[in-house]
Amino acid sequence: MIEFINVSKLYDHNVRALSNINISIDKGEFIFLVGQSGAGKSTMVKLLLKETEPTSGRIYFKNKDITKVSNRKVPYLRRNIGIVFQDFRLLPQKNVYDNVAFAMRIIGACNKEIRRQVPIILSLVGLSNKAKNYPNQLSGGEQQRVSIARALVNNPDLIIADEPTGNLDPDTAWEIMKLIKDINNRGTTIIMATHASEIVNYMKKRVIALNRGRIVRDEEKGVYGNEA
Amino acid sequence: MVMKLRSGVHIIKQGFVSIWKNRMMSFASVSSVTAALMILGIVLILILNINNIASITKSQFGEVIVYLENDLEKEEINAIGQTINQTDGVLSSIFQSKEQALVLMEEYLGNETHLLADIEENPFPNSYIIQLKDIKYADDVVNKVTGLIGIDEVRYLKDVLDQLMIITHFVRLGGLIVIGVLIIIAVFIISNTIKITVAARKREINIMKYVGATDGFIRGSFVIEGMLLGLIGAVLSIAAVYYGYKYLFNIIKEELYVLFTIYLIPYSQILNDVVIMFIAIGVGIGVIGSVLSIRKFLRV
Ligand SMILES: Nc1ncnc2c1ncn2[C@@H]1O[C@H](COP(=O)(O)OP(=O)(O)OP(=O)(O)O)[C@@H](O)[C@H]1O
Ligand SMILES: [Mg+2]
Repeated sequence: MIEFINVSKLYDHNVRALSNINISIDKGEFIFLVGQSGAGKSTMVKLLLKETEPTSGRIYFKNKDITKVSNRKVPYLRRNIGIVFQDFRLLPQKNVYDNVAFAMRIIGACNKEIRRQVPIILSLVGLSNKAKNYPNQLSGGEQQRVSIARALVNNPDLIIADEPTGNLDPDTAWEIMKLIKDINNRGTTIIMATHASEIVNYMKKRVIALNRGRIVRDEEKGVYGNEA
Repeated sequence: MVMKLRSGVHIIKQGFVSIWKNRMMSFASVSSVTAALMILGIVLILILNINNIASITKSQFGEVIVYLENDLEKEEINAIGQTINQTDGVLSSIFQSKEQALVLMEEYLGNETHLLADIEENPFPNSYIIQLKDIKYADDVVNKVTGLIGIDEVRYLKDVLDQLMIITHFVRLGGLIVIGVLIIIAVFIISNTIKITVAARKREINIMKYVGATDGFIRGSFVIEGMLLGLIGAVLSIAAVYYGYKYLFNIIKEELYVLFTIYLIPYSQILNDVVIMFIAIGVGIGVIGSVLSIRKFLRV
């Protein structure tokens, strides 16, 4: 479903963030992206979201070369991808329900669909009883559940999570991890960039390790490893 | 269609919600629209009234009165009338005979008619009262008519009118400049206020973009918000200008001099003039302000 072919990324001032990346990810896979700080994990995420362009190489998403997608079409690309950040990025002036419904309204869903879908997703992430709460009335773990619900609500093919447990205590991190695994079990492809070695080692999923912008390891049922 | 309508209603509702959630900024924006439009309203009322006074006085003074010599024959009088009517710049002329002039004077004096009792012979001359097509023909007409045979005197309040013309000219020009400057200042203030609002909501825009909102959708929601802010400002300033003027109008009417109010534009008419104009300007300022200020934040 996703393919990076000879992808390199050079930021301004000649910072080489990625060198000659080649990977292929199938539908339904669960990928951990590991590597030291500055290794290029977030850059790969940004390339998939077309937040930035590769200096060279091609990137395919659902058989389409997204490096050729015009800027005007970027929103439609992003609608196929749910995104979860370390800092949750919820809208503070909207309650839980509206934060999730917002993602549906933006793509023009009608009220009927919204009223049906949002409660289903909220119960999936275990937040049915907090629908009316505002983000500042929630714990970090709960806020991350809201952001996962928002990523999930439009049934994307892919969910990208950039250090989703980075701001959470270990117990909460594990709960979030379980939720993401459940989502993967339902068939959604997951790419998760993380520094959480225990989680990676326990989950036994495919691990892609980056070091200074190069892929140094790509293995099924991998571990966190010492290069990261 | 129904869906479009419903999402339109939703977007407007969201606009109000967002205005309320960001009420400090909204308050600042609305105040600046209101302030600018209120000053605009004051200038406008001044200009309209001065125009009004000018046109009333112009029609009062814009007559050329031609007094005829006393011993003219009827044919001579008619001939003078025809010549006058054929002169460039003359709209119409009315002949006023000695007798009519006397009657008018008697009517004017009313109870004091006894003042005329001692007069044996009618002292008033025959005259033509000329209405000009436009004030600018005054000098030509006066010159031509003065040169005719059988004319005793031509009377025309030239100096007064010239002064008045100069004053109204400068007031209008000054007013237009003030209005222009005000609108520019208002757009500047609004776009800055909205820019601050938008900057404060950069996060929100950023999140919208990650979730897959198109630029059009994002811009739309901010533009609607700007429109609503401008509309609220317009409504407030219309109310302020209308009630303020009504209040002044009534004070002038009651405390000062009733007759003076015929020179003033009635407040109901001000409302007509101002409503559409202010709403258009208010909404326009809101839209322009939001479009200008959101542009650079759309690049994510
Ligand atoms: N916008 C940018 N402009 C210039 N250089 C950048 C930019 N973004 C990232 N970089 C550089 O690119 C390299 C890779 O950064 P990236 O954010 O992908 O790392 P990361 O693996 O996500 O690190 P972390 O684990 O700390 O999040 C770093 O050297 C970083 O300084
Ligand atoms: Mg990163």
